[in-house]
Amino acid sequence: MQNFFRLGLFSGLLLLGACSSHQVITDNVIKQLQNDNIEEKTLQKLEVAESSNDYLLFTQELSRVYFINNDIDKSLAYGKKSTDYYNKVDQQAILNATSVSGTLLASTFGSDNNITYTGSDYERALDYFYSSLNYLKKNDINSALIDIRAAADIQKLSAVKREARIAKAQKEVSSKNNYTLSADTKKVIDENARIIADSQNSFLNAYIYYLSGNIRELSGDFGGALVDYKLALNVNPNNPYVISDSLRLAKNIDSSYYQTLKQSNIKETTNYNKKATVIVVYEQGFIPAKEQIKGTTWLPNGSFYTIALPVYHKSEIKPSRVLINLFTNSGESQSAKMEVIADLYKLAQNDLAEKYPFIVARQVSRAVSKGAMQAVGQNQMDDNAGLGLLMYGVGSISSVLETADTRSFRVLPHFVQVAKLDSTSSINKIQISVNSNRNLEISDIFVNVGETAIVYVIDTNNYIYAKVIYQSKKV
Amino acid sequence: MKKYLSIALLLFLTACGGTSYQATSQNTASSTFSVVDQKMLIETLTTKLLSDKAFLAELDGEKPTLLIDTVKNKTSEHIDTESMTDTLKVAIVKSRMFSIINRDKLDVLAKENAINQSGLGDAQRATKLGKLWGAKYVMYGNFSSIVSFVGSEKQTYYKFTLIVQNIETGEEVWIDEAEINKVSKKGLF
Repeated sequence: MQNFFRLGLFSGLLLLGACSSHQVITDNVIKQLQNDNIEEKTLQKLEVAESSNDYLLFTQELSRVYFINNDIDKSLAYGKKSTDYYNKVDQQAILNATSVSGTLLASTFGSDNNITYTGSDYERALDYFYSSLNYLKKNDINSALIDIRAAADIQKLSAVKREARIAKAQKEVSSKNNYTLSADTKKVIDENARIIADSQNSFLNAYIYYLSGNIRELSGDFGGALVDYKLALNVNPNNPYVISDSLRLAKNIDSSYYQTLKQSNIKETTNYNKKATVIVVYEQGFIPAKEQIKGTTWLPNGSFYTIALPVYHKSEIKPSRVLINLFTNSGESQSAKMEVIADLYKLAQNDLAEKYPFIVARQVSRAVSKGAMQAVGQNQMDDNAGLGLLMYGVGSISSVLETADTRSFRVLPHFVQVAKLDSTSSINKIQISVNSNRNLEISDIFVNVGETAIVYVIDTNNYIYAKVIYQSKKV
Repeated sequence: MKKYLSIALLLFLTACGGTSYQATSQNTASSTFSVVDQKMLIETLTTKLLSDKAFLAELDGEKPTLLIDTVKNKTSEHIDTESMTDTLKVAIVKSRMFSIINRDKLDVLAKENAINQSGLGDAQRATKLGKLWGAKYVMYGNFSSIVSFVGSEKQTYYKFTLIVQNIETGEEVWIDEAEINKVSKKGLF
């Protein structure tokens, strides 16, 4: 009877899937963005109180959606809510989101989805970065520079935190390694350990550094711009546009660095004030959702435990081949191929890999608690069948309902490409060709010699959004 | 039995509990840049400027026209440098040593906006502005910060630099700086 009850309960509960409301909403948001028909009622579902566990995640998503949809004021407002939230956590409390001891009591019989979403360093840096772009769109370059510097500070802080985090993770895992893990779970853990070993880090982003360098240069800060180009090259040493810009600035500021770069045989770009310049940024797709893998182990005493882990699968998506054609007042045209500057999906994968030891340790701790409750319940059945069944049931339910925390900032682009073109005549039209079969024309642009424009192209894998973010003025 | 039942139900209900916050013992008010700090930095520099004998000799008893440009925020925080500029202006006007230019002409302001998007460096920008407004001197300030991390401690070093430049010669006739250091403890994760 007892075994029949256990089996029935287990089978029934397995049918109850864990469905994250965040994923359902963001799937819908992405679908609407892909058709350029974002609905207010869909976005309202992302409006949650600050006390909600998903507050930070949803405000980040909203800020990015409004950025894509060209509602700059709303994007800025939600971006500020996100960065304020991160700062509040920094200044007022130590949030124990990834510490086993801190969250275990609060979510012993729940799942990691019950933990407050505290984001990641790469997400936080990107919050500041997009806020900076919003300020540029409002022609407020000083505020844009403030957020560019804040993004740089976050990347600097991440370097300090990473070492301490990995040391702590190793300690957490070694304290749990006597617990039996299923073969599938072990495989996922090993794969994530390999990602950590292979990757430079989870936060350094050549995309932010390269655009930051350009924005600093537009403000007249050439020394700061070269520092950013160097940092971009450290992360992505092969991007020809980053090399060209570094060469141009290093020629006057840092001669030894110039000599090193010169060996690359890449042509240096022209000084901004001598030509009309267009910087094109192409953001492709969205970061795929995390998925869940589950492993259940039966113990000899009849109790069982389930471990649910979030995973990112290998992406089959390749960067698009994007060509830019530029037309000028004098009737000439020129073309260039865009080059990948960042794979943000890779950053998300690295970030998850670095958090893995904590996720596993937390799951194991919970499995121990739930297993103990089932065992107590079984013992009670002899003395008091009702109470025993209740305890066994509660322990079993919470074990089977264990769900992985699959939340992540999803509306971020998968790949980012850049190109920089210039001309001795004014630029009046740009054509963009994606994989030779999708074309886009930007004709509401006019860049005089001595001026620079930053153009954003956001490809949702269907509809393509395009806008001029900023244009400098010649005086 | 009731006792066990209560414990079981309580444990089950906590499954939906939120995250715990652990308050830090530090005084957060002192770890961030405040209005008091701002006033202290401005007072320090204006007192130095208005009592600097070499600078007073440069003025030669005249009451020259001065354009006070907005203090530039070069930190990574959205600090209200407009308010810093106002505090600076109050101190300078009170000294009665300069004839301060009132920036209210729309056509000149439009050109000023274009200068803001021109990518000029600080000194070049100040000279362009000064000429635009017909000033003899232009005063401009930079408020910058350097953030460093030692363990879980975040140290922010704020520096306020004030410069007075002669528009005609381009010479920086007075420059000085004041600093303040702020320390805050950050969570590791």
